[in-house]
Amino acid sequence: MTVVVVGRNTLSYTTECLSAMAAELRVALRAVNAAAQQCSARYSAHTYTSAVMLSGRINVAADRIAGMISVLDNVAMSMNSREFDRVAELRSGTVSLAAGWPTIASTLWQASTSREGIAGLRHVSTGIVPLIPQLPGSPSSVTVRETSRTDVTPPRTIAERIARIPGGEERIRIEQYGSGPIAQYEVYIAGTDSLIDSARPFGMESNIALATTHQSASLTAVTEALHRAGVGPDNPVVVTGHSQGGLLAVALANTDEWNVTGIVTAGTPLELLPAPQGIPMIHLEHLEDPVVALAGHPEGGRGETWLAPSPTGERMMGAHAAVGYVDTAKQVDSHPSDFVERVLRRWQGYGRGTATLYSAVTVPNNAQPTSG
Amino acid sequence: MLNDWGAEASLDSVLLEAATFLRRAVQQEGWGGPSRDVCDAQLESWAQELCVLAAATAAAGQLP
Repeated sequence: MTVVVVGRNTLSYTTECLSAMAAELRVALRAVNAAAQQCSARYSAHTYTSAVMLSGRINVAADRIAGMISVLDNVAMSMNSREFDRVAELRSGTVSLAAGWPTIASTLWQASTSREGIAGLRHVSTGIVPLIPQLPGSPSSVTVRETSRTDVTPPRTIAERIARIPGGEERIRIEQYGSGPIAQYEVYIAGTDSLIDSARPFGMESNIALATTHQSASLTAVTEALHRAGVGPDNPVVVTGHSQGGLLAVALANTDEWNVTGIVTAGTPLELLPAPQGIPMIHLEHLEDPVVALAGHPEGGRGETWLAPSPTGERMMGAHAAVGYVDTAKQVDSHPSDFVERVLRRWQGYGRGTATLYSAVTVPNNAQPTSG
Repeated sequence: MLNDWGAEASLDSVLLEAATFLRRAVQQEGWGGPSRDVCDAQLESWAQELCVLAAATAAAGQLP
């Protein structure tokens, strides 16, 4: 699997280089295809095993090169509007989005069928995200409940962090290492759990609220859980989030209430929120994940992004699943960049700690929130 | 005769040229670190495979 690491401070340069790399590969592919044609034209009348094997090996080489071109092209298209236009023109036979602004429906249809469609969705979203209205927010009432507590050792890798993001009813996990003012915390936040149920703090309503008001019921739930866990304003906190959980990590870092020292996101549409300053961030994005594409092409100054094809080839929401991001994170851990090595050392906790899981429900307007 | 592989071009020369462009891709900048090293190693192994095929083709006198 080809994994491309893009430093957000070198977005344009990196994407231009990727395009240049893909251009060289394209010439190599043309040559290999020419060789395959020669092979079949010259030897079609013969059934020599060696000729058949040669043709087979040439075709395998062509497939591999075409696969890598596709990944590099799609990374470039995902990262940069200009590259999207350029590659789309290059592939005018397969990418019709370049012709102009498509309808959302056709974009989604393309997204469901190809990586190019996801890049197209980014392209469209880039124009839409700045139009999202910024509204005053109102605090939400939620009830947060502690559901379990276990002993735990600190995470050492990105994959371990993403694997610890809770699922099911529990949406928040807080690990504490040490106690009092020197305690360190690892916080894990799950993503959206319902598209329609407004009683769920982590429902779709919270995504919209976060994008428009920078507040949400889910943010209130996480804040309440942090208070209940005893996190103080000076305790270092590393936050790992999947999807909406990643947005909440950024939202926490954007407040002065917590000392967020690191953020890991997986499948998060980051550009929906302002970037926190001076906090190391690592983002994992699958080329086929439509949710990250909803935020448009990436902006600079947001740490380091790791772009990779979905490890098992899923598309759409299958490519968005947290479990797939665990596999991609293993790639990050096995081939870490200097940046990843540096921040993992900085974040490393020590000793044994306690992991606490929390669930949350929204309190109706006429009821009083309680802590269970 | 870069990028022009007519019928008169020998199979081994076309394969060698493909290998050359794979190696040119390796020379490009872009991103760095171990994940790039893995990518470059992949490209180099494919280039070597094409060179082996080219050598085998040339040795067989363009086959029957």
